[in-house]
Amino acid sequence: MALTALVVEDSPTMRQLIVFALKRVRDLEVVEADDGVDALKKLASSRFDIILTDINMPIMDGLKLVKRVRTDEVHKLVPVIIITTEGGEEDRQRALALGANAYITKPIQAPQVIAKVRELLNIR
Amino acid sequence: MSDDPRDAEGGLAARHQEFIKTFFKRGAEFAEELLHENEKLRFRLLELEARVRDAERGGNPPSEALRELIARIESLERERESLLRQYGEASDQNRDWKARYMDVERENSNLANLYVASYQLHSTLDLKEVIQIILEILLNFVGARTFAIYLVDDADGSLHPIAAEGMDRAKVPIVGKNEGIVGKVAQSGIAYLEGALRPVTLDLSRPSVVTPLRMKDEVVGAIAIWDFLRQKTALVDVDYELFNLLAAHAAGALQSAKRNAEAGGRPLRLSELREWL
Repeated sequence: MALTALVVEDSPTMRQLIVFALKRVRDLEVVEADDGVDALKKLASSRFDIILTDINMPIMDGLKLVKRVRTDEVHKLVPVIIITTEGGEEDRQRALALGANAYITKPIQAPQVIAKVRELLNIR
Repeated sequence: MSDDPRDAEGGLAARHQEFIKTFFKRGAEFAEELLHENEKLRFRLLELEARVRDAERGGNPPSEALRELIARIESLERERESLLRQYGEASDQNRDWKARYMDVERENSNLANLYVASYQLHSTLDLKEVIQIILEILLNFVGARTFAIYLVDDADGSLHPIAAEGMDRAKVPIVGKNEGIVGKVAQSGIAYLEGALRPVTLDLSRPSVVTPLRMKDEVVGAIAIWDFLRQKTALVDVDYELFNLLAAHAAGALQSAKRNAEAGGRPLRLSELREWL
């Protein structure tokens, strides 16, 4: 049975790069969202196995999204990976404290993202 | 039978004597047997002692079973050495494959960056979108933090900032022809890649990286980067590839979008295209 990832990123360029990287994970379907609000709509209508989100996005940022996900009955245990330009240790700690499972800084290396997704989904 | 007691006495003595004779005779025979047996055992013992001495001196040739056993041990020893050698070779090969796999993964990732950047640059003819895509590539793919995109003014060759990230565009100065690092890069068409990635203070006259935007041999603009994200510790191969890609493709995309904007954002009809061909 295929797993499903939700990629939340306002930059179409960055989003395409992440989706491109995730294509290399076998049996993983990818759904895209433009920002936090768009992501919440998609979370309400489908079940996801992992979420990858940017922090700095219009309307609703990635940290607010993580907070909402952790209170969502269906997705509260789903792993969340933050992918962001914010490279400060305090940013990392804040995101992890809110319930993010991993924190990756841009510019990304596809193998790093793929490895983290596989690790959190416990797949090869 | 005689009634004389001496006769009776004599008979008894004779039987007694006969018994003693037989007893001693059998005893002698038994002793003789024992001596003979003892002699045989002593001979056997001497023989065994001699064999033990020979075996100890190694002079005694091993038995067939022993020879087979020794041959088998030698064969197993050779097999073990061969397996150890093969294991060592496989280990080296494995390390080599792992290193090559990492290289391929890195190269694959770099190509994905270049593919997506190129794909996005040519995905629109809208000038604002093209500019936004260039900014996104610099921010997300290269890891630039403070940077600006310049276009050359055809009238006097000066460079005008059309977009900036990390600071207000209005604060980015216009650069005269051949003025400063940015002007010289635009004049020569050769990228400047020698500045510090994260300067202590932001000096707009001293960018870290300047790359020209070229249409064939004509420089139509430049990208100047003054500062990188804090996690960006060094420029890597893919960054130089991205600068090269932006130099050619961003210039083309910007020029196409500019022409499109000049034409009112209307795609040319086939009849109009024929005039160009």
